[in-house]
Amino acid sequence: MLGNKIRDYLRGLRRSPAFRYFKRDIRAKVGFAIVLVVVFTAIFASFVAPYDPIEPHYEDRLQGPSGKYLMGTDWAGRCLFSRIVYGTRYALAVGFLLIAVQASIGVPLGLLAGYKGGRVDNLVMRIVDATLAMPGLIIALAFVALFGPGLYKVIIALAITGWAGYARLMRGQTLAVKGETYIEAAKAIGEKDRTIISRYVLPNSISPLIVLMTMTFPAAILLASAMSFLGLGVMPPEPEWGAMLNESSRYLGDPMPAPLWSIFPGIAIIVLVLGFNFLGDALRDAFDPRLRE
Amino acid sequence: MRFIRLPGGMYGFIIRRLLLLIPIFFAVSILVFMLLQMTGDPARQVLMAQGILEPNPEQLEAVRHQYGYHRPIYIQYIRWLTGYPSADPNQGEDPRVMTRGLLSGDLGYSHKFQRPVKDLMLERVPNTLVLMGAAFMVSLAMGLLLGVIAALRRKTWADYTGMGVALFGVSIPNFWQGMMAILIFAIMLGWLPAEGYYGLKWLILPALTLGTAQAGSLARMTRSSMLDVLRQDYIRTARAKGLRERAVVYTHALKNAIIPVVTLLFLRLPYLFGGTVIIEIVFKWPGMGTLLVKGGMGAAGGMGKDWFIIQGGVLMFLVLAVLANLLCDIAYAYLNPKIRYGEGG
Repeated sequence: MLGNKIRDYLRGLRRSPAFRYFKRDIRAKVGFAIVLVVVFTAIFASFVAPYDPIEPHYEDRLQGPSGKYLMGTDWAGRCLFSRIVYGTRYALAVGFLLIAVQASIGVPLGLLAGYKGGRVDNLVMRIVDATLAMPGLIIALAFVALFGPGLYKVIIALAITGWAGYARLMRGQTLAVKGETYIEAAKAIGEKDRTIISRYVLPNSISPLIVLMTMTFPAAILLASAMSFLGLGVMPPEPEWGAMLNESSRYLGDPMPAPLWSIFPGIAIIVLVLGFNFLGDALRDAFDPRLRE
Repeated sequence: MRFIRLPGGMYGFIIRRLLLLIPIFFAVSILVFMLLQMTGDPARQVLMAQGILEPNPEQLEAVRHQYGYHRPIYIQYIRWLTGYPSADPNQGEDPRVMTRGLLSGDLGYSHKFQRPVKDLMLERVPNTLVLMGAAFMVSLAMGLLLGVIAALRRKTWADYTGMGVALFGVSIPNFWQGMMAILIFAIMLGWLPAEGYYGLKWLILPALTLGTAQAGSLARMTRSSMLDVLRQDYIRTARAKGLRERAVVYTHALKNAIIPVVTLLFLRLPYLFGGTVIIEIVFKWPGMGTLLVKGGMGAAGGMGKDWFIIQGGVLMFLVLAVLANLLCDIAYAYLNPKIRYGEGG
């Protein structure tokens, strides 16, 4: 049932001008390639990485790049290349899980507000506005200070404020569709609200939803790595990129300069974030014909 | 000074909006108050800040009574807010440690720093505001410049380079950019100091780093807004009646294109607050972010938590966010009459 729906949607998508435009976009190709490489690296991390990411080699500490350690080692002699390879798992997990949590809170609330209207709409949108006005990172830091660090807590902490964007988008989409004749027709033949939402409202909102998801992915990675960098996210020695930079920041200059240790994880973050930003820009332009020319 | 003349409906709107601050303030104060309660046992947190990591039951009980944590929670909240009812020695409450209330500026005493939280904050808030103000200016100048140039030279190398830089700018983790700035300009070249705040020279690197974080998205927004405006009929009219291109661009196009950009700028202020916290840690800036993360949360090299500091820091950033939102709404109402008279308030 759901499988058929997805297949129909994909079939429709492949024929759409948006997809044809998207396919020709160089940003889409580059972004897709980067994301694909990172996903495969994450899946096959144990094959790609030459060493265990956490296992120390104290005799080889703070080394530069060499044949033995592609990117050198950190203060405990852990292989930086292996740590960066395993770091892809954290980055992708944060991105996907955070989007999933945010969307599963925001999308139903937005649908509810847009579809019901009136008082419900008013209440939900008040909460959404208040949430959007809050400094998300500071709320997230306070949450982690309360409940402790760790990957899943970081995701919950960032979802506290992050869902609001999804709610606002879905409300707008629902309002735009609600006045259409086919919704009226569906109501006239006595379709239930649930059917109308799942069959008419949701499918019409999928494109902007995908764009928003692609665009929140890099934001999620940046925020989560910043929290780990502050020491209020994923904690060392776990091979998370922000946590690596947390450790390396003390080794930028004297007395023990190892700047490359700080440079590689940063580049890893940039490449992945850039990949998703490319994808997001290309998707947005493809779905929004006004921006195309 | 003459009374500022505002468009019709503005006064009513501002008054409605200011009245709304009262419930918002209560919501914020309850949130901040609850932070300490949500730790499970405030007395244990107070003792931990004093360095007693594993207190025995007697110590906990003593502190609980000294600080009045044995009372019902609504009494604790009212007392935390107003200072009343004042300490009752018959119940073992100690007037020396009892809060005099948020409304009289008492945020508690930091055992870690041996100072009242209020004093710690008063020293650091100006530094944070200086950093944020400078970063705001940097982002505004860079964002507008990049965006306008890219829009005017659309589909030329200037556009592609500018937008490439902007995209790169939004893809860099700001804290890493700060680390690289320290590495290049402080450690390798030795041009600028990297840590602390002792003068204007110390402001340059953190302000530029924090400013560029916002400049990227601002430039992208400016460009698309500018392109939108340049397509409008009144621009064609302006050109048709023979205005010089410079007049068309600067007086007609830019003025209209800047409205959504300014709105975005205010809407994104909460991100600036979060960004400040991170950049302060990177550059060891003696501001509220460092106090909150290092002093309060015990991260980034600070030892142990101090919840009175966390409450103070979170309160300050929430109040700033509320004020930014207020400014944003007022600016928006000023520009858009529909909101002034409408339901919104």
